[in-house]
Amino acid sequence: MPAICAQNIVRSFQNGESEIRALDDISFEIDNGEFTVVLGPSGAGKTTLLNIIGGMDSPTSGHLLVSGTDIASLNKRELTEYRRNSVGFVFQFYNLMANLTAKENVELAVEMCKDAYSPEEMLKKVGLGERMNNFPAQLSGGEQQRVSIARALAKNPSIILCDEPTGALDYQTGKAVLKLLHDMCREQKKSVIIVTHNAALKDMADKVIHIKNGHAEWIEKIENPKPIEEIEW
Amino acid sequence: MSAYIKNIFRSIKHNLGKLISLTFIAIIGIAFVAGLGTLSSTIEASYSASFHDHKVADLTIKSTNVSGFTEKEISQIEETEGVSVVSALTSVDLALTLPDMDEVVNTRLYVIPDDPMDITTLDLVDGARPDEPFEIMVERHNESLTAHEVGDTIHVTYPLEIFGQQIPITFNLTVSGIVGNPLILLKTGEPMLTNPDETLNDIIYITESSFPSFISSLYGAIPKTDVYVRVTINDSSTLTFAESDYSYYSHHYLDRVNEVKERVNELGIEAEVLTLEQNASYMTLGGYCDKIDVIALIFPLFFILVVALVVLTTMVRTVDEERPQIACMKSLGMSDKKIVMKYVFMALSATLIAAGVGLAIGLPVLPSVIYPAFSTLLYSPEMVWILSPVAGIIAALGIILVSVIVTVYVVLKQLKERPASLLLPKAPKAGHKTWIEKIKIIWNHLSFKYKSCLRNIFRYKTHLIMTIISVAGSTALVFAGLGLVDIANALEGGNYATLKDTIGPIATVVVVFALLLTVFVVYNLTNMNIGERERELATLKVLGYKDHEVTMYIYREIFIMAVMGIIIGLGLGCLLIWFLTYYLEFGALSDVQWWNYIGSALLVVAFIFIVDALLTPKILKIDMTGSLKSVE
Repeated sequence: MPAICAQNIVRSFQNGESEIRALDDISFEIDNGEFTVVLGPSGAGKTTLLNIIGGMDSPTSGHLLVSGTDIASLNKRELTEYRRNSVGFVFQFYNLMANLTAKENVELAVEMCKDAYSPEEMLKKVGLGERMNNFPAQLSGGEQQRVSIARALAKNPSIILCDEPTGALDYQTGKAVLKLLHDMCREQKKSVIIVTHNAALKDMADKVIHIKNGHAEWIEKIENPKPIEEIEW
Repeated sequence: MSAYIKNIFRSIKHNLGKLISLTFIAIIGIAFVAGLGTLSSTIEASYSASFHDHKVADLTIKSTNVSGFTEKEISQIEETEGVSVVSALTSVDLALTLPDMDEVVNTRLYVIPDDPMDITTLDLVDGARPDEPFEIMVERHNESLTAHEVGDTIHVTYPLEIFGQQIPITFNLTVSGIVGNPLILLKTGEPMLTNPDETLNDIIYITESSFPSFISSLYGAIPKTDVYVRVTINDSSTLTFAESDYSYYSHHYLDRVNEVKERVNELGIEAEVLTLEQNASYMTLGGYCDKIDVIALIFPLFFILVVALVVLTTMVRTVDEERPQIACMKSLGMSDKKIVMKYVFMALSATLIAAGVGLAIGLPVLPSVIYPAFSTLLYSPEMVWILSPVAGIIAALGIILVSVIVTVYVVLKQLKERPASLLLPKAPKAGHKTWIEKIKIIWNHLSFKYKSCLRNIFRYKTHLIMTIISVAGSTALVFAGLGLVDIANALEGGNYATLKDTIGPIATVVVVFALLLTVFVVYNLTNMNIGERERELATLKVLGYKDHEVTMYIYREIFIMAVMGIIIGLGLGCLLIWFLTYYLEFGALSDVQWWNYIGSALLVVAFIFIVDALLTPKILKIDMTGSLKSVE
């Protein structure tokens, strides 16, 4: 059984008289432990797709099976439960709580999960063992993104969703963060979905979903992903 | 219309809800202070008008000689400078024993001229003046004076001295009329002159011609014991009260009367000269007016503080929400002064309207609500409303001034930022460790939720201070309001019935006002807090926090701050009660029931719950996806 199975997902928004289809009949499958890149220009519907997979939004029609459960049919409360236990998020702007230290930010997410990892262990793994008690304002952008990766992983979710995770970082830092994501996911056998407009990232993926105008134009399976060190953009 | 003016009106329209509530709070404050400030003048004016209409004696001269005043002495008094009218009569306070009973009836007997007097005129409440021997009039009843009806017979036994022997003789007197003496108003009873600890049970008026003639023949002419004197106050004693323009409680009146009193004393007559200051009704009223004036002096200070807080939070919030607009105006080159003026105009229009409406409502309404309560203590004349707007105007000016100052301060603070940074939404404040974390024993035992909560509380210090001040202020006012009722209830004797009735409505207004303050300030502060931390809340939602966990993230902080405010507020409330009881010269803090401490705290908490309920939809509506996209 695939980890994620999207079937004919449509997400439309009402704009006065007219209807805008952000996602127009999109279908794909993602296997367990697969590193997937969703690629497409701005406005193609990437973020809408990520929101739906992440349980922040529901499709207008279609099915989205995650570990066998159709999350398109979940109500608000069930979606909260789903976000809590099954999904880890990594955002472009990190979205850390400014008044919590790195460790506390991870604790915040872990506190309510069932099979979570120790926040301290996880922060050591992302290389922030020494900076655990620092506040976000005292950390660099790359460090903040590592905290957010640690936060996502510590929950021990089945899916990790990343929205332009390198978008706010410089080149070298961006690469380091991607490598970390990649390595951690391989190690912990997580399905990772990265949403980006940076086409260079596709070379490191197991699978690439090309999105345009709300359609999955082309689903590309990459047999031999390149190590991140060899990717350039 | 210029774009600048249009912009102001658009802003007013956009913030109408806020401005109306602000105006509303200011109206209550100003109306209350204005009404309270005019209450004592209205009471004094109403009774002064009655004293004036009844031509009450300014001086009552009581002879200390057994045989009363001589004709010569009376004319001496009449010729004294400042004396306009005199009238001589007889009065005596007696402790009479009822036949075959041990009971003592304290009776005052007046022997008055046959024609109605032109000093201290009596109101004929029922029946007619006596025209037969043994007919009398009696004073209307009160708690101590017996209630008689026209036609009743009163038996008076008096030991007459006949040929050197005391022979008790019973007179059967018939009540022909009931009268009201303008200087006997206390419903609790009139003290005896011979023994002020005792109150009178009967006041009997006998006209000279209905006085049993055989007594007159035994004693000769009845001695004149009293001389009533009216004093020329303004050379205008013929004017009506409104024209004569003096209050019986004014220094002018009292000085003038005492001047004449001195002159009478200098005549060297064997007599005691009494002014209204020795009249129980007059003094009781004056005492209440003084107490009301104290309340009217203390509360406005609190009210101005409260309205200042409301204006402060409203303007901080408005200016915060209009950051992009302010940035835009500034980047277009508009002067700081002009930008400040926009918000000053908004604050000014709200408080000016509040001043007008507040004065217009408070000045007439509050006295007419509270004045009738006085009729439970005294026979009250019709209310004469008097415009005494000083307290109200001072409160209104105070509120207007404070509002303008606060607004200028808030806007100038915002304008200090460069336009470029103003264009960005306000950055959330950086986190840092708080002093509590140094106390490891406490900090290490706190759950994660409370650690984060405490850090947030100290992160937004201005919110913390404003919340604590307003919650403390309103707790203190609620406590003082409820406490005053307790104190009034604890007072002994019916003498304080009026005080209870007066304090009831005042306490209600204070308590309602205080609770409105809580709702208002806490709503504004929480609203701003939610606005500033939208991203944090969205993050929590994304992480899978449930609705009640997200709302509790905000509410936990409010509750902790509120608890601090309530504790401080109860302390302040005790201080306020102590202050009030000290200056009002009645009751004590210990009269406040224990449950009032808990009750006022719970009341404030209940209203904070209401605010939370009002704001819950706003928290739940925060859009996870939208809020997370915004720039850092």
